[in-house]
Amino acid sequence: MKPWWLAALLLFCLAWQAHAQSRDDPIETRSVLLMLRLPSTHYRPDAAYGAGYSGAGGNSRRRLARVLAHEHALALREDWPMPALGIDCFVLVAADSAAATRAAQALARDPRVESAQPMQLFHTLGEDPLAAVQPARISWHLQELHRHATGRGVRIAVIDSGVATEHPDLRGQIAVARNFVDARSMPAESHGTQVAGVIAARADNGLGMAGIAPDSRVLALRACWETAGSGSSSAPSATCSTFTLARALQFALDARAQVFNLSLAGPRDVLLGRLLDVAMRRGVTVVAAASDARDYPASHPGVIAVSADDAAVANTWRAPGRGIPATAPDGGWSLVSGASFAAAEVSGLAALLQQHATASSAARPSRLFGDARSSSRDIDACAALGRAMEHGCVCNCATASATMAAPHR
Amino acid sequence: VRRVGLACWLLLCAGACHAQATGSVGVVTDYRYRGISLSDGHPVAQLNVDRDFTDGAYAGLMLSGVRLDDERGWQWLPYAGIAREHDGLRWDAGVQYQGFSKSGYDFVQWFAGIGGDRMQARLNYAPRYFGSGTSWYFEVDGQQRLSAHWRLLGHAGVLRHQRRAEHDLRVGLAAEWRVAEVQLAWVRACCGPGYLEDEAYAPPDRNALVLQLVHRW
Repeated sequence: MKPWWLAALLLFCLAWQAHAQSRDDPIETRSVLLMLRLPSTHYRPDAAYGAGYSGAGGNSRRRLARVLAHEHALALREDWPMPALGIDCFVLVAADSAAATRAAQALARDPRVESAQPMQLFHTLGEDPLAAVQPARISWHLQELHRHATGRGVRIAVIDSGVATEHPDLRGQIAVARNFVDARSMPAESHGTQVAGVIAARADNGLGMAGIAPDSRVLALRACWETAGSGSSSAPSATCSTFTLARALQFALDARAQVFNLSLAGPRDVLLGRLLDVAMRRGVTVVAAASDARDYPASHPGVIAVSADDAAVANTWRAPGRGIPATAPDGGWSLVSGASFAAAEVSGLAALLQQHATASSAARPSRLFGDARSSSRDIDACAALGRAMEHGCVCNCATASATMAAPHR
Repeated sequence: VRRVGLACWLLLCAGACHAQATGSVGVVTDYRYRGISLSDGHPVAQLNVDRDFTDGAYAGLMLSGVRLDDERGWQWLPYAGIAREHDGLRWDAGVQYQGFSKSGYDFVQWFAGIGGDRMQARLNYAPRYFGSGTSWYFEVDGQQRLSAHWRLLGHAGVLRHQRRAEHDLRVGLAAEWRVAEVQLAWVRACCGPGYLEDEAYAPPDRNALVLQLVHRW
């Protein structure tokens, strides 16, 4: 009798340990994204004009999501409409990450389901601060660029961690601030604040620094949360999930942002890829950071992949990436380095080009940068702006001597 | 005509397991169709069921109370069509049948529309509009979301029927939740002589304030 009890006790302990271990997995790694089709927008002979699409069948999809969750031993956590893809996205939580992967595969085969995938995590690409001067001021002739363009009126979606919207160098620069991570108001976090400052810090205010596009308007979309150990005093790092990023991308599409800055990287992701494809078809310039050639979304076709100029990353554009002044969440400034901030500089430059592209030509920054698929190249900002201005003369007519090929219009 | 209605109904009842069923039931204080009251200014109940198939085809049926020629009755309105979207631009085309418990007013109507998130335009053609004469109706609908729960609605339409033209306007404010919507709208049928002079369609007032309560599922 004694051995039987001992075996049972041992089994119970093992099961309890496995259960506890699964609960230790972050909820994001145990989550499945379930996509259900929105009905198409069409005529409905409702006496309420304009009833049309709005909210049609939301409850029927929620019911189906609950049924599917029950069938696959998942729990329905939250949902979000993504009309840009014609879907409603539901977050279902499994007991552990292995169960989530199995459930995602099974759901993807279900004909009632548009698509399904495991939730993935992405990380920002910051490095330790270095002391230096603002490098774009020299290598990109920033003051000269600002004589021709300041990004006036261009809307840049900074999809990142929280932004300190009350920072003195960002005051008035933030058009919209939204938190897609939780229900709190926007917290001031390091990485998002730094990226927003590199792009759009106010110029000529006697404070701190000037952003690359100081007259642009930033949509501060918090899709990443800073993890323990990160902060202004150490290397800023943040984590994001497929779901929070997708919500932010959908919002940026609805808000008609012209440039998306994604200073983050992770594994290839189908849902994010589909949203980025919609954005680029609508003319949005998408800039993403890359510290490795496989980083995603930088490796997604059509995305402007940017690495720091001291890194050798294939198939990327290189931008100044060391000792970049940036706004800090405590209201001060710090020097930052890495692909995240190189990408932010390029997003700012894209806004300068967009200013002229919208005013005088059909050119888009992604075309002006061209295709960098063969090897890593330095960005010639003067040449790109000269092209955007349709043979305008910037930095002593640098276009003529630019190493980048002229784009096809 | 009845074949069209039957075809719509069969499509609605087709047992495609992947179709998405939606619907609504509600009450409207005055059922205004293109600015004209079909309920003689009285409140009526309405039911709408709709099925959307994965290839963009859709079919549905609306039932509504009406009051024509001072007689209470009902309207049944099966419809079917196909809708597609390309790069944010959506179009749909289809056919509807409007049947009334009072005979003589039934008609078939063909329609095609195009639009985006905020604005849609639609052209409708009926060979025998309310039982008499060809009609064309062009309408534009617009929506502006004010917040998560509030929407501003606008509608304008021009009707050409038996060589006469009418137009109607509608401006409304809608409050919506997951399962319910309340809509308050000002409706105007405008102007000059037209089929408004026909007693059968004459509204008690060319201007009306309409309240609608809808439960959706």
